[in-house]
Amino acid sequence: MSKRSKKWLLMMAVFMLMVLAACGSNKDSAGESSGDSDEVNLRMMWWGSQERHDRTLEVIDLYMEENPHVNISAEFSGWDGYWEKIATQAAGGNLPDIIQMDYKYLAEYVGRGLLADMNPYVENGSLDLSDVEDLYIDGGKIDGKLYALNIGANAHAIAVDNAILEEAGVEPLEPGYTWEDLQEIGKEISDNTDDNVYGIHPHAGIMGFKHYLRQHNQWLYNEEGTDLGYDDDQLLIDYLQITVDMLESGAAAPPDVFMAAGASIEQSPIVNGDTAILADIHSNQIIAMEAAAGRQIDLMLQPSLEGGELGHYIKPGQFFSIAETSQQQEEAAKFLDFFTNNIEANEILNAERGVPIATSVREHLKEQADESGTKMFEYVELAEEYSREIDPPDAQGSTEIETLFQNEVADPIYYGEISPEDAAANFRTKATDILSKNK
Amino acid sequence: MKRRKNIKTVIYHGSIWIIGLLMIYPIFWTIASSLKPENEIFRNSASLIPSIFKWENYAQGWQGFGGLSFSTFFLNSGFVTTMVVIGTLFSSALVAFGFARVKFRFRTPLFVCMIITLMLPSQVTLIPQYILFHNLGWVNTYMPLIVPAFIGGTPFFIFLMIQFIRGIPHELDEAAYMDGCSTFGIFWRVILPLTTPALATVAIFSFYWTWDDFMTPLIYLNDTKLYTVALGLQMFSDPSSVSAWGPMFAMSVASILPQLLIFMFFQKYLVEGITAGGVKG
Amino acid sequence: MAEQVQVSGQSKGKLHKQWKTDLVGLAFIAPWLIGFLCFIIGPMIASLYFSFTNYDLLTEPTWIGLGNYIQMFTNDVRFIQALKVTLIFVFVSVPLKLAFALFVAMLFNTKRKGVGIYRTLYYIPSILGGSVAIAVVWKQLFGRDGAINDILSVFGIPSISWVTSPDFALSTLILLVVWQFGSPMLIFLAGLKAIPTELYEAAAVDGANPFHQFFKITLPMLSSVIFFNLVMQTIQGFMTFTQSFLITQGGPMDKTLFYAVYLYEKAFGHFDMGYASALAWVLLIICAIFTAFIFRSAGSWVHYESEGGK
Repeated sequence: MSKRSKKWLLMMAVFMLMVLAACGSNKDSAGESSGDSDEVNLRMMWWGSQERHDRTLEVIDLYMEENPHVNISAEFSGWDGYWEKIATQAAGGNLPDIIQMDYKYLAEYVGRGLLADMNPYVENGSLDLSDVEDLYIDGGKIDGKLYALNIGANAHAIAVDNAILEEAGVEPLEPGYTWEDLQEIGKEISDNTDDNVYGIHPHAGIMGFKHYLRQHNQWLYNEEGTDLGYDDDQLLIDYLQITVDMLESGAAAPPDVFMAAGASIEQSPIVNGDTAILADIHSNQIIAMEAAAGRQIDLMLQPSLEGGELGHYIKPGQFFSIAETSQQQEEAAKFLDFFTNNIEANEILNAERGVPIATSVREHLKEQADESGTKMFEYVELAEEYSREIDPPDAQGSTEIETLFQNEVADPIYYGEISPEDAAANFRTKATDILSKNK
Repeated sequence: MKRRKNIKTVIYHGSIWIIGLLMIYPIFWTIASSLKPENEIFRNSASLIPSIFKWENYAQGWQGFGGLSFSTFFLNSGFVTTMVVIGTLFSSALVAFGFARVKFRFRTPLFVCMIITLMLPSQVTLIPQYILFHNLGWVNTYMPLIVPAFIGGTPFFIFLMIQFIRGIPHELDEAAYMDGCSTFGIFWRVILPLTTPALATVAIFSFYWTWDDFMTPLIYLNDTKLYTVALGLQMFSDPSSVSAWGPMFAMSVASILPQLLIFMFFQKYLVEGITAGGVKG
Repeated sequence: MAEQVQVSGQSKGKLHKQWKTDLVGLAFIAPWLIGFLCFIIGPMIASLYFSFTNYDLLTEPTWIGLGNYIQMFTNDVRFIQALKVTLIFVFVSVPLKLAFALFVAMLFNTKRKGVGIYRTLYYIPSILGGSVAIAVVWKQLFGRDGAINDILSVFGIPSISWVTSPDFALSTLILLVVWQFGSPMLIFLAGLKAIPTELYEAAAVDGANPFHQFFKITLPMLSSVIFFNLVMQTIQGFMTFTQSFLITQGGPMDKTLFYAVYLYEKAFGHFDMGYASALAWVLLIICAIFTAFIFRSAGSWVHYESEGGK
């Protein structure tokens, strides 16, 4: 072997050792934090966009100023990838102390024992909810335990471009209008406007169906979350028939017009003036919608059912939860208290996450809200009048049910590839199968 | 004769420009959107001309989040990407030479192992890998981003280099061996210079992949001071409420610039390959 | 073939020599080998184990034997759909993309003025890659009010929403992927540069026309690079995720449900990592069969300057 290759082998060996050493060492440096007795280190994680990041960081700074012994490290990101990161950290036993949570995932995380019950901290006064009506808190409770604190209230709504209604000579919608009214109005708008302007961007999704079930005093899941909660498939058939009728009569835009938007509110045809009404959105989305459209768009209640129950409820837009693994649950609860009740903090936050839940904060912020914001506040107040108590959060496996509904009920209905009867029967078979795993 | 050549040249350049416009239309669109006011991005979005030029999008975007500006993100990305490119060049050239030129035992099974690792979707190894790195104390450091590059974490590049090295005639090695060159000497003085075009390709790709990747940094970095540009871009968008589209497009444009520069820099080595590779076939 | 690298000049017995060659070989591949042993193989085995379990990410996995695999092959139409979509995608997009990439690479393999700029121009779509911006752009381009429809309307073709039409969604995604042909193009370019120009000059003297040159010189000389691109594009085709995930989310009606998207949905959407792992290993086997097939066929058409120097 030549000298050079010996030297080379030696180099490689050293390199190998270095890597191996790196592989095996510093196991301990992982779980730093906690540590000193007085110092409190909290990790907090949320998703959002620029405005939310800026505002939330400012509030964190404010809190740390007032509570010098607390150090909060902010870990924030956009929506994409957020849930993988949370899931990965949960699997790795490395969840942050405070986690922004979505209604959709709440049951999945609670069912697996990852979130802490906040009731003890409400009782000992760390988290003061005396100024908050139950309507605003109940969405975060499962079996009476408070796993998630609502940090911005929402309500279902439809978006209406009243300028197009006026142009078509149609009276604006008033609370109390019915499903039939909606169909008629949609048809009128389509008929009385340009060929490429339609009345309604329809929605045959699961969110609307849940609303429809509530109007019939039923719920999608049974109490244990082991089966569907409604027995009569005719309910789903009737619900889907509304969309089918609207598509046939021309009241609704054809799927070509609205499918491309997907979940993106800014790309919805209503923004471009292609439809007058967008069925089924969340009230806080009005802000993004108006910003993208650059003109007035209004919120209106969902259609009511003649002789039916109230369908609306106050929906938590998003939550903060405390991880079960957190060593500092009480300190985390204190921060959430500040986040909920402190006027100065909420002036900074400016209801960016939705309508604040504490009454005095809400009253205060409503006064300083801009035009879009005021619409959101007023709408949630209106919806509150038409609301009844929220049903229990979705069962485990609900994310799978939602995919099923989207793929095998809603989309084929839009494209006319399935009859409401077949869709309803197929949905029952497959959903029952998914939910039976919870038994 | 000369005239015919001229016509040919015109056709050549003309057709390339026409197809080329199709190729870069999206860039124009992104640039146009980065200068539009929020309410024009999605309305009449086919228009490439903003009604007013809203340069503030760039200022607002660069400002970043809560005092953490894109300067930080660009520096971080620059560091991570440079390290990854160096690591990838180092490991892929070495490993590829080993596979392509040294006839050691088990080389075929090991090569098969390497190709197989490419076929398992990363989604299912993410969690065990996270737990591994977490136990090593590497979470919230750049280690999970950089170290894999040094240890041949991207078999794509190794395979690419193998193919190029196999294309180099053996007579060259043998001649060098006769001159008393060691194996490493052959690698360093004969093979490496001949693979310049391939190395330039590797550099371009590894730069772009690392620069563009947001999933790995998102999973492994917690401290926002460590975030990269790709992560910064993702932090503008929240489909569940309001996204800052203007600043996002502005920063997307800014993020493309370094990639273009790197490409233009390295592509000249693609060309230089002619002279360096001018060996007899 | 003769021993390629003689490590020792003296004859100390063949065995000893081989042992030394082994050592040198391992030294060269050491970086990869260490990475493989330290960071790759463990997680791979873990995922193989998960595929035999019921694992929801957040609680301990429980062993269910072949349960996931049985479910997949007997009672999962979406798995079949995902497989179908992915196979169509691979079979259509890979040849198209490679042909296009090779064509453009040959156009740019000249010393004409301005090729540098052209190369950059044509590489740009690939830089845009998987960013959030590209999803918006693509939706805009192929949307109902998009630029594509504006062009088509000149020819009297009615406007439709290409991205979300059940009939055209997959084709639109294929087009997007083909459009991002930058990486195989670069590799072809690097390969073309390695072909000695004397070969063409000699052929030109012999009076060979460009077609002849292409089939007799370019293709054979480029075969190792074509082989690489074919293997890698096939594997990457099976793994394709971003385009569908960002733009169509697998819809409408699962018409663009790529295998990796389905797998992702199972793993992180439905918290069924056990099932997702089983899906992943089935994909690995399918992918390995195709790759092995390409490798086996290579002997008959791939020509290496170093090994086939006949």
